[in-house]
Amino acid sequence: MSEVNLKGVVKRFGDVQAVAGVDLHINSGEFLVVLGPSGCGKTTLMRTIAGLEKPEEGQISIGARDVTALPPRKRGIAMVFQSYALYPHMSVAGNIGFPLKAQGRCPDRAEREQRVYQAAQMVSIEHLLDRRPRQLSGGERQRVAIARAIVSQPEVLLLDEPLSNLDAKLRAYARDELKGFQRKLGITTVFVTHDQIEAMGLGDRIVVMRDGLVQQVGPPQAIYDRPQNTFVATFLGSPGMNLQLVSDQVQRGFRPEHLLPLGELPPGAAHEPFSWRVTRVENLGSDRLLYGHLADFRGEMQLTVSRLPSNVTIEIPLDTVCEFGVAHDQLHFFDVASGERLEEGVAA
Amino acid sequence: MATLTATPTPAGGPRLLRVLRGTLYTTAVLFFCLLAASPFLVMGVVTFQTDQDLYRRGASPFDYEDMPTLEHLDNLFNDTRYLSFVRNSTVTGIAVVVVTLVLSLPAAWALARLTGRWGERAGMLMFIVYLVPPTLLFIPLFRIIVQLGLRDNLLSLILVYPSISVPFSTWLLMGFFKSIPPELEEAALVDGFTRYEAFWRVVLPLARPGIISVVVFTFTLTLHEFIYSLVFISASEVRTLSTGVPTELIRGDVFFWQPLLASALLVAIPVGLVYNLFLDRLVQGFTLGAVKG
Ligand SMILES: Nc1ncnc2c1ncn2[C@@H]1O[C@H](COP(=O)(O)OP(=O)(O)OP(=O)(O)O)[C@@H](O)[C@H]1O
Ligand SMILES: [Mg+2]
Repeated sequence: MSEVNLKGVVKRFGDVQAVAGVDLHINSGEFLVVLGPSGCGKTTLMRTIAGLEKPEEGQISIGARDVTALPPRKRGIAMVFQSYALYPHMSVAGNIGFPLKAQGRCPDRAEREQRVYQAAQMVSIEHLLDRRPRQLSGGERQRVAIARAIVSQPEVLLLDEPLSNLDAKLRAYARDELKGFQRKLGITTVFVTHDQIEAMGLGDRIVVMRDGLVQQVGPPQAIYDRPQNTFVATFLGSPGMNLQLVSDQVQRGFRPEHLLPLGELPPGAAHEPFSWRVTRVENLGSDRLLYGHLADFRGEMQLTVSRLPSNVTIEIPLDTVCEFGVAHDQLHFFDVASGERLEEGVAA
Repeated sequence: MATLTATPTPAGGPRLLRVLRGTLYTTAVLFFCLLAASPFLVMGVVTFQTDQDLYRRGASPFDYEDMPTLEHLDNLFNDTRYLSFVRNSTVTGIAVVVVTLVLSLPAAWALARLTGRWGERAGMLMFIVYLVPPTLLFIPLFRIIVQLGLRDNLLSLILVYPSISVPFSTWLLMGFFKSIPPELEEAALVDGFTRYEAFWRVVLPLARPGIISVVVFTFTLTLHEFIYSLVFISASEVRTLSTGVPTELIRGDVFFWQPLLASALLVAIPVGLVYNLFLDRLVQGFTLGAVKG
């Protein structure tokens, strides 16, 4: 267990800045999720922490040690690759025990076998130890990869989209299990994903990245409730936040679940009224999504979405002006030019 | 076969058909095996024939009128330097295999992992070197060998054969290494190993079919290569099989058929056995090299 510190880390590939100056502090024992769209540099950031990429600038330390110049094997880390990278020529036991064979980490054969067994037990694959990786299902492979990562008791565990090869149902179980052993072991964990549900569900804190830069760091609920800029606001949530220009300088945002028929707003709360025409309804079972257009201050129409929970059964007529509203404390304001969040007082 | 199965048959037919088909299949396989093996059969049969039997007009090679004789084998082993040829060829073969592996494994690995333009170009260049035929090279190489004082020395062959085997092997192994995901190596690095250990423990075992192909290709190359061996080595006791056998067992236009065929057969058998042992791996090796290279 160790904290991890990144200071001004830059990684370039030719002209591309995959990581463009990242400062990050990861607490000891924390489950940190790195979230961002495809190509934003998540994998590169993780590989830089692992030592598989050398940063052009910046400094990385794990625990009290500056590891910037150290090779991966001296960093006290373990990693689960997106493809799992299991060694095809070794059995499951061979795969899990492989890190223990490095430079006399665990020279005693009996002890090695016992530790392999314990790691396998931790992810409930002790019955598969004699198989080859190609004889395993995706979920089993993922567990072997995790067992291999935890067997050497690393200080830091790095996971690169480990659940993306699993089907949706298995993914929910795997998420739960993963969080389970992370708690049990208390390893500092960095988990990369582009799936916001995974991020919200797993992370003690979330780092949102875009184009190699950190946009916001914080607990999932805090990021969701107070997005730092329009990118974070629209990236999180499905669908993301609605944005509407209110002047040349300011735009305001509100989440789809906060745009409600007037009767559904919390009684007595001050609210901003919106009249709009709903042009399409999607029934998702648990929710209804309403699509329509709202005019901004110049009169231009912008696509807007409202999300009604299933307990709101009110009939919404199509192509008819309806009266909706958003409670004042659910409105967010952003600068138009920079996209940065404006404090409520400024906007009012 | 297809027409056979399509023909309507009376009751009890399907079973008969199956037997018939099996027999046909077996016969066909046997026929082709026999066809492929026939040169070796003839070699084996002729080895034990007396000269009178062999040269009798109108007789087939399989006719024995006299008793089979071991005279020619005795002749091959005791009156010629056959055993020393075998030894020279084996020594050369093993040495060339070792040199080839030592040079081409790291070269191929480096080329496979240099994904930029230079890696590709260097790979192409290696292959072009392989395409230069020995017939163009043996005269300049002969001068070099003479200057090094290596005439009539097996070292000359051990030095020169890798010029053929290394480019080819590098090319073949490059295909293998490219098919091994770099992530496996990186996983080994993260698991606590150095790059060198990752190569030994992860990359090499996965490239084993390629390595076997390289060993077999290189060894058989040194067995059958003729030009360099003929030019660099003229002393009979240093000769290898490919030049020793034809120079000692063909005198002018007199062919000593029985020892000649026996000498070829004795070399072919072990090589054939080894090939068979690794057949699957070999096919995999050459096709993978072909597609991914
Ligand atoms: N080895 C490389 N050579 C050149 N460019 C690279 C290399 N690796 C990554 N990049 C570039 O760096 C950027 C970030 O890539 P990275 O793989 O870190 O993204 P990511 O956030 O992990 O995306 P994904 O969610 O698709 O995995 C991309 O523009 C990518 O093209
Ligand atoms: Mg990635």
